[in-house]
Amino acid sequence: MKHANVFLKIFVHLFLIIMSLLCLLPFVMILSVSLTSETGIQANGYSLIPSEFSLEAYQYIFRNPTEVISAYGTTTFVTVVGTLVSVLIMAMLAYPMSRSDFKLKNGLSFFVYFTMLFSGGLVPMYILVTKYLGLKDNILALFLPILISGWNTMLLRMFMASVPVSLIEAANLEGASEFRIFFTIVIPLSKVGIVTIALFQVLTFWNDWYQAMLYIDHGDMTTLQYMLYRVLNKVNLAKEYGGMMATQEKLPNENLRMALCVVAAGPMLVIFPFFQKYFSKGITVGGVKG
Amino acid sequence: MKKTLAILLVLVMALGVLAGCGGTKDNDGEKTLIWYARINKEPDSAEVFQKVSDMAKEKIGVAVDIIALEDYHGKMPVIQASGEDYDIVYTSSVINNIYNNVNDGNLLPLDDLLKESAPKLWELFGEEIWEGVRIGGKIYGVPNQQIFARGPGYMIPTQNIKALGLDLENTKYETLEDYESYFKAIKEKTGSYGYLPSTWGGDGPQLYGFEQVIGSEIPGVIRVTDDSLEVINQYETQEFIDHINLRTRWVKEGLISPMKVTIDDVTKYLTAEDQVMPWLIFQNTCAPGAEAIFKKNNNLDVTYATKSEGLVSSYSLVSTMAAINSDSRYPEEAIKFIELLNTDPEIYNLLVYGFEGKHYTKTGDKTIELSTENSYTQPAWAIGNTFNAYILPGQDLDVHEQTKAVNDAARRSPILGFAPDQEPIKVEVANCRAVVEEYADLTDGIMDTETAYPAFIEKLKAAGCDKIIAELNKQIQEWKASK
Repeated sequence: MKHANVFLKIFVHLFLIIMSLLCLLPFVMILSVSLTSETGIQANGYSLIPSEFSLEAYQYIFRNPTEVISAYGTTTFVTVVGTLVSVLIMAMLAYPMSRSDFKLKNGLSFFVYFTMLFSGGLVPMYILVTKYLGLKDNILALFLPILISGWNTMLLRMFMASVPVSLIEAANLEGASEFRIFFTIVIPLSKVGIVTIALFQVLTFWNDWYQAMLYIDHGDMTTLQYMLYRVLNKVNLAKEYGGMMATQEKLPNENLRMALCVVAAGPMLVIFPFFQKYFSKGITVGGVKG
Repeated sequence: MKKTLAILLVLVMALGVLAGCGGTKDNDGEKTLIWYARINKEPDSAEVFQKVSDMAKEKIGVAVDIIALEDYHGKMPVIQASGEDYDIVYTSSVINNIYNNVNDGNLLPLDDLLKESAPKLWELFGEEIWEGVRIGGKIYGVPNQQIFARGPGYMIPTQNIKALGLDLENTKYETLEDYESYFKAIKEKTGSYGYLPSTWGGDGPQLYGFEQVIGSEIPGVIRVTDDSLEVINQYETQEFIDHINLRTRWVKEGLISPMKVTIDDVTKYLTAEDQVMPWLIFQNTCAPGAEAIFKKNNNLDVTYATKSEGLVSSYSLVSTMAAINSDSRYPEEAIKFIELLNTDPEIYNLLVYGFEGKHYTKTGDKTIELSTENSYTQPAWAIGNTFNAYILPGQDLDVHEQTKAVNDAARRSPILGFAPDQEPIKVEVANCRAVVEEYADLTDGIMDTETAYPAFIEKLKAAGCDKIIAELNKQIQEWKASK
């Protein structure tokens, strides 16, 4: 009996160690490749420990530090403001949907649910944002079009539905306004859910390059991800043209791509652990409720 | 909590209202052209673009809003579909495909505009070139003057000539087969196989006397020497079979690498100067000065051991062009600006190389050296007339004259001016492209030819290659009859 337990434990541990290595190694690899010199990569391929240590890729990125810093600034602004606004609006949208005494509850839910299945498409969206909202070259265009996620709103509604109705009724009897109930009772009680979708939104905003690609034509308002995307795009373009053109642009190198990846994803790796405890709780609570 | 959030919300909205006022179009009743250019966003590009706009204002009376669009694939279709204002657009046989654009009615026919408003631009190209770029009888784009004669060739590291004791003058290096002795010499010297990246893609088939009709990898070529202009499937020709058999044999005999390699892979294997670099690469265009550009990009001396006779085809003429939006508000000014890009060296070099003294220094009348501190690089071929470009270190002083001479002397494709209508065979073309990609290893000789070749042909047939050939034959005969 005891032996079986030990074996089981060893097996579980081994399994988990392998799983975590599988998750961890690619990151180590990316970091290592970004710190290897280009000639080292060509000679020895990718390796977990830099074969020829070099900072050339990072020097290349930061040779024009203003662009990187401004890209960090834009991305940070979009992530912070975008997340705050989107969580606030989604919470305000999800709360009435969670109240069983709200008459239009089903209609509103359907309205949100509908957007999860169908969307207007890219071109109408583009026309709406540029022509009717006039947001071209505007920082709002970087997060407004992706502010509300139907899925996250539904998720939040489930958390809010778990707030006891009697609590809300009691507050009501005490004379609290709807706003007061919302901000002082419902929001604190669905903290786990709110932090969970906040993390989703942080990732969405941090990783988004598409809005910048579509809506920013002039100026330096580049998001970090779009900078990275542009470097990759340059490589693809050059490949597509191949030797067709007499003049070729020089391709960015392997280590540069990995370094850009580190620069873009690094801050998220630091932020993630702070959310983590809520995150796992959020997922399980949601599961039980569903 | 509630207050902070409310204030934040108000702030964000206020910001939006403020920033919303920053429109750039047509200030003070002044005309502004909008140019979605296939060029790069560089650290100083805003200043350069402003200067270009000022110069255009001075010369032709319009400001130009240059938008450096690096992601043409992703964004241009959206801009076109949404009916947004723009005037000048980059189009080509690859990016923002000109044939699709013409089908969709996105581009303005330029015939009359060119003759009336841009005579200098009209003069720049001979009648023959303008004939070559016509689609359905009309001109839709202005080609960027560059090397039009596509003449592929094989390139070797210069140091190999000495290290292997090659005699380029007296040895015949015309076909790939002639290089058997080259790879044998490499094997003798290094004890290992050499590297030979793909030699069939791009304009490769041209080395076997074929001219592509509908894109390099899609079935459908004509023999350059065949006056009847019969379209055939290049993958079913003896030439293709011989090609894969040759490569397969070399792989078996250990002369070339049994693994797939790319040009990027092999050119980075640097060795000492007196050592052998074990590779040979295929290049699509051996234009004059191409060795210098290769050296600039890879820091390596190379020599063309084989140069094929150039071929001017419609496909090479439309490979990079400037066109005007069919809904452009100022077509006349737009064509004048395109004329400037092609005839005014000052404005062109400003766009291509940036500011003198900051991004480059002049070393002669037309020669420059690029700054190592301030980087500003643009693809010269996507902007305008490359014959007006300053000359880089390593390029011959008369590189542009040489290129022009090559263009003039090159053989004309027998189907120059024929533009295939892909609409009826769209599906088959896409299917065949997928099959050809799947069997890329076969053309590189690293698949079992015995079994893979029949399977490849069978799949091509299933994908509808015969329908493509039949349709192209029909179109070409109609075109020939109408000439």
